[in-house]
Amino acid sequence: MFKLLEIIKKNIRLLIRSKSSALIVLLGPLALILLISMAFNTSSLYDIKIGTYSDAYSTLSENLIAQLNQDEFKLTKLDSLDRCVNSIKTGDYHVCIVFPPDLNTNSEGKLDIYVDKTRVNIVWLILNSISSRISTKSTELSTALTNTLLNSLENANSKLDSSSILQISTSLSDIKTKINSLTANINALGSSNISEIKEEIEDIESENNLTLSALSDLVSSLESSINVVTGTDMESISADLSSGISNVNSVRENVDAVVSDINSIQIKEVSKIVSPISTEIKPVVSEETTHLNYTFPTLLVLVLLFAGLLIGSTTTVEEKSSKAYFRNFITPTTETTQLIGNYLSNLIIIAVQVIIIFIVMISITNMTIPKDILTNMVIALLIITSVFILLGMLLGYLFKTGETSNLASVTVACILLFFSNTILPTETLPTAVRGIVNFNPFIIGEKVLKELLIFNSNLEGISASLYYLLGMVVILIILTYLARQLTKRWI
Amino acid sequence: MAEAPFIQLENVTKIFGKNLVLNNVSLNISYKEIFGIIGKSGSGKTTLLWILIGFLKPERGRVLFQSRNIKDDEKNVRQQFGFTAQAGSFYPKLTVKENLEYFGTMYNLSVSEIQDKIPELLKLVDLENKENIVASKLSSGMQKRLDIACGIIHDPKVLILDEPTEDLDPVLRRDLLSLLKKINKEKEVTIIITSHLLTEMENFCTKMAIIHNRTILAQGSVNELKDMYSKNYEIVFETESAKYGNLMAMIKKRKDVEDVKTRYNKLVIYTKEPESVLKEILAIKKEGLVDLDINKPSLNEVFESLVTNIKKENVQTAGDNKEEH
Repeated sequence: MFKLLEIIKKNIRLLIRSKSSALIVLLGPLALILLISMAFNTSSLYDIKIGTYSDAYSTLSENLIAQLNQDEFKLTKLDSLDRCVNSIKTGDYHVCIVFPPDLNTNSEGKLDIYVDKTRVNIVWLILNSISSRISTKSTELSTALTNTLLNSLENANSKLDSSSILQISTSLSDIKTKINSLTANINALGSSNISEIKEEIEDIESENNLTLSALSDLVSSLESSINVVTGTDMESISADLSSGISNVNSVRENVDAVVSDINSIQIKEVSKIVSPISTEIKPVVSEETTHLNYTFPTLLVLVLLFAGLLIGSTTTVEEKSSKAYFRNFITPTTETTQLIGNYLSNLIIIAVQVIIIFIVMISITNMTIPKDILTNMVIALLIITSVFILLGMLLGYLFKTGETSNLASVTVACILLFFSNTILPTETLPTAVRGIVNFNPFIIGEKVLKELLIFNSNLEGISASLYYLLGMVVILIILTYLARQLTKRWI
Repeated sequence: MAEAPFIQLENVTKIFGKNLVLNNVSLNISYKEIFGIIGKSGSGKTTLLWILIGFLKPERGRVLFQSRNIKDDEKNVRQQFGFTAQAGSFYPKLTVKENLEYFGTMYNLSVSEIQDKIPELLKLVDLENKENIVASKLSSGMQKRLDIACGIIHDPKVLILDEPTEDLDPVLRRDLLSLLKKINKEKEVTIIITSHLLTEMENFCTKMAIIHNRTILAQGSVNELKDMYSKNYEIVFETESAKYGNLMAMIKKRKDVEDVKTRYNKLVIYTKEPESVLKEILAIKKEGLVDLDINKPSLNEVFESLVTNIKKENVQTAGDNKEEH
């Protein structure tokens, strides 16, 4: 133990006295996390430049532009489609939106949105934001149209009254009855009274020997007219009335059906008709979380990756190229003790960095770490850091000079970084490659810290990942020891 | 029964890949001895030292320390041996005291032991008042002394030095060798030192081994080595006239004279009885005497003679082999 302390003391003194190394190794990652935390402590996009083009901007186009031209988006109308599209290629604009000429709700034109998919890390973020704004405007228009439609229906419903039609039908039936009665009366009048008048006229003529032909003609004419009225006209009117009553009843039935249909529409709220299936994206973490909160586990593993590899390899090469390296081999202190001492020295340096990183994070973002996950965090960080330190030490022992070992460390760090979720999702990789990449300590470390820091997972939830990392630690310890033995040949 | 050597190498052979680095090397080193291993650069001196301290394992042969194979007693050997490398073996960015504290701890000393030892050691190596100076800021002589202090902080029984006087000026060399003598005397430490500076080693070592071409050519005390080369003394005689014809003829007749020859203006006589020969010379020709010197051959001459003999033997062996074929 005393020897380990002396080795740690010596290593830290050497690191501090090598000013350039100390500056890079200690302050580099701290400066990085400080700048990142200040820059990414937001949940918004900034300064997204959008170029627009249309042969003829309509009111609706202008409304959409106004809708988009807020906060993070800066819209500029460009004078040609080519310029608009090319501006994305040159990087002057992030998105080009082409509005169809005279866009309105009746036209069938669609908006073309041009994006640069090579900017994979931002393109979906921008598209999502633009789609959401356009969708808002689209919903606004749909709501207005649906509202009008619903008002018309409501108006029709209120005006379509079958009782008045029923009244018409009843009135027509009454008229028909009266006409039938009238016909009967006229018929009665014609058949008996006219005959009596005629008989009376004949009696008068016979009694008075008079010829009342004019009167007889008049009565005959009257009789014939009554016959026409009752025989043809009244029947025709009665038939028309029957047909009218039937039609009115039919209309009433139709009106009743329409009213019934209108009344059968249960959803009459505009929002539900515009968007019958409503979706709500519910994040599993707090809405107030910023980009930094999401990305903090990744950033932390990134710092551990670079710091672990660089500190591990730098201190090992410094030790190896030191004049005193040989004497360490010939003292009674075992090589295992030397190795553990060097590993612990590196671990302490990175522990200091991690503590400072957390202090910075907590003070800038008000991040909180629940007490119940603190122990799990320490265990996870210890194992993750050990993987990267031992990997760095292994490279330090394998490469002869500081330059080559640093180059190897950066290369290994980049490989681990490229084959992680940081640049491209691993889901985009072929299955076989993904199988290998899933053992990437960067990915496993990131997963563990995400589960701990964002989802407050317990140790059981991350135990499988931790076992993988522990396995790597054991393998790296063996390899590092063997590599140290190998360096004896190079003294 | 003869006492067993303190350190003994028995037929040690070391091979790196396909390169034979040491071939069948055997050495005997006694307690409290100052044992020099002399040889040209690349002759295998450093490899021999690394095998001695157990840093390298020989392919054949064994190394015994106090009659125990160091392979079986590695921990004890490490505790009993101190080492200083040619280029120094300390941390240049640590202070003198920090270096001593660190290596003291690595050599299993307690804090109090280290604190007691540091002033004594600094006094011994003449680095008093330098304990808080960063090692890289010390002069080369001081750095060498610090390296020695690091190598003896644990009071080893054996101190091994790999060309410690290399890169030092003559004054620093002399100071360093006198320091080593002091350590040898005061601390009763057996010193094993390598060098290719034969003149220095001649006056410093009690015993020596000459290593050449991966093998030990000879070993023994300086006089033993010189005797191996020649038991004769060398009389160098010079007169103003530089005419030695008659004198040469007379001297050659003596039975105790091995050889007589002229070297530039001088007459050189090889004899086992220098005093008697000198008397005769002076009796014959004492006028106009310019220079007169009686010497044993130098270690340089011994070394060169041995190397030359080896070369001749090799050529002879090659010739014999050709004839046989």
